[in-house]
Amino acid sequence: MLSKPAICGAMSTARAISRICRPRYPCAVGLVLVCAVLGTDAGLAQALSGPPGLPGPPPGAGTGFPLPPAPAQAPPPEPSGSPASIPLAGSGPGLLSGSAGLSGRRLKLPIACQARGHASLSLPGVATGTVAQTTYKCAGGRSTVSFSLGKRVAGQITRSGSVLAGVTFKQGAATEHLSVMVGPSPAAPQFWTSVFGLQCGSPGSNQADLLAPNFTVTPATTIDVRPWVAWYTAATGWQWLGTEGPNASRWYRWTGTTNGVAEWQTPSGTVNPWTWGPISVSPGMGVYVIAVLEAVYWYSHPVYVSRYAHSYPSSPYCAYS
Amino acid sequence: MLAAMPAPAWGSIGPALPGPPPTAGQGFPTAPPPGVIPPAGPVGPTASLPTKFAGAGLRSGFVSVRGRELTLAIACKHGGQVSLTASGLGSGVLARGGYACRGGQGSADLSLRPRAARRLAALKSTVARVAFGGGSAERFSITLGARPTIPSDWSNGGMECSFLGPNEPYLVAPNFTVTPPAIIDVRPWVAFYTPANGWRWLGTTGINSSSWYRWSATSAGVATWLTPAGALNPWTWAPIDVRAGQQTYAIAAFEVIYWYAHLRYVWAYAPSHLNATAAGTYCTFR
Repeated sequence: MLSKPAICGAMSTARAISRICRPRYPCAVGLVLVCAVLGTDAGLAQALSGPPGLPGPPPGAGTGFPLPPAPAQAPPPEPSGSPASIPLAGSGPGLLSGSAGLSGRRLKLPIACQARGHASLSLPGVATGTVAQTTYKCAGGRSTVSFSLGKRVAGQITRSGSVLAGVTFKQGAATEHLSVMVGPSPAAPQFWTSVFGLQCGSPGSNQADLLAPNFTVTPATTIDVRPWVAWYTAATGWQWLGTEGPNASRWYRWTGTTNGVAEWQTPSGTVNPWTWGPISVSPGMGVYVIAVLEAVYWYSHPVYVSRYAHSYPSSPYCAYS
Repeated sequence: MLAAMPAPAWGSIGPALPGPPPTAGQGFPTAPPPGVIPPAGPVGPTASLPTKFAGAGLRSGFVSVRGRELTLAIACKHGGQVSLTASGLGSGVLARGGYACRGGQGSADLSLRPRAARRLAALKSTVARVAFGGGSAERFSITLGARPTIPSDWSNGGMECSFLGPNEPYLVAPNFTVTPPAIIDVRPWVAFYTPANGWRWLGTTGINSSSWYRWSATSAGVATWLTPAGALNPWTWAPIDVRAGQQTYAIAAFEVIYWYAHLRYVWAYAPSHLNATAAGTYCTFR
């Protein structure tokens, strides 16, 4: 029998950072960035007010998986993520928070919007198809989308505690698919515990680099990882950028072992993690950025996990004025 | 010796089990040559479950025999003839009969030859073949007995019902743990049921046809599947498309030959993984 995966052993951020900078962990390319950022004023914004909540699951969370790996086949080399820029505008309505409470049969989603529109809700783990739909008006760039759920569906959500939902917005000619956690008791946000993560103010003050967490897995297995950054401004709400553009990212395949990702280990013992950057932010937008990585562990019975990556030096967000 | 556990309590929801694969215990490959380590070989091909069949199908593959009498539950479009053979019970056709078809269902009452019935009582359970019609007949395997034996299921692997999508199941071969190590040949199947067609069998080379896959199995699992970095990538067959709206039930089965000095053959079902946490007998597709 296969055992359940042990995913990235727990380690506090402070302890983790001190650990990687010890001499017995020579700073590799990625680690140099971590250590360097810690010792400098990264020029980050001291924003007056941050986002009202974390961004929740990425668009299409838990769907669109690649086919499982072939027997005995090592993952092919993976390219780094290309330089990217946070767009100047959102691609449609944005959630103000990625989790929504359920009160009775009423589900309310506060959003940032540009015009009136239509929204529909699906709950793939609970029911098939659309479970609720509604229209919304937009005033002052804000609206609250209010769904009325069926008694049976609301009951199932209440029993589950927190479930993944899909929301489709139609605003003018644009259609946007987002994901949100729904339930009476939103689950506490989960973070990858690796020392790697989103390096704020790196390499420039209005930039960030994402270093993928060093996935430690017992027993070793092939993993697929899909990276995202979520970005927030007061005008746009939370928006998503993947390595293939807004609301689009791809899967990267590696081998997770008890010592981390096998493909990132160098002959000298250092770890060169997968990187995506620089991710540039236009100044003056008041942007908050956080990274999310989805992972599939290709055990006999595959396991899917989505978590935030820590931002360094200030978690949970990188903030840019 | 085998990676198996006792059969689960089969759910009351869904059809009766499909019985053995259509060519169970037949068509074995030649023995592995000395000293040759099998390569990993290909994964299963992209496939889809057909929805239209010309001939009749069975609604259950485990058939109880009382005395000499047995009844076959049939999914059909019209009435016809059915015959039964079982090499373990005697040569040639051991029972023959007809059935009428009403509302897509029929039943055929058959009577075994006395000598075959006595032989079955001694064996308790055996695999038999059922053929509908003549010429290019639809042929199925069933397990016959006063209490036909349902094999233990493989303890891991099986069918992932919805991980890739709501109508895109895929198969994962069990991680066969074998002591002492042996070369094994494995033949995978998907049995699928609809009310209109009864049970049908899809193999990696088509309906009622599947390939043998050869691997090296050890006490730690299938060594052939290990990647250079030490990950175990089990053999998979993905994706398998299921047309919506057919009320389809599906279950995976794997036949295995253990190439010891004395060949050993086993077939068994594998679990169906309904979601991240729940497993059951069948995947269901509405």
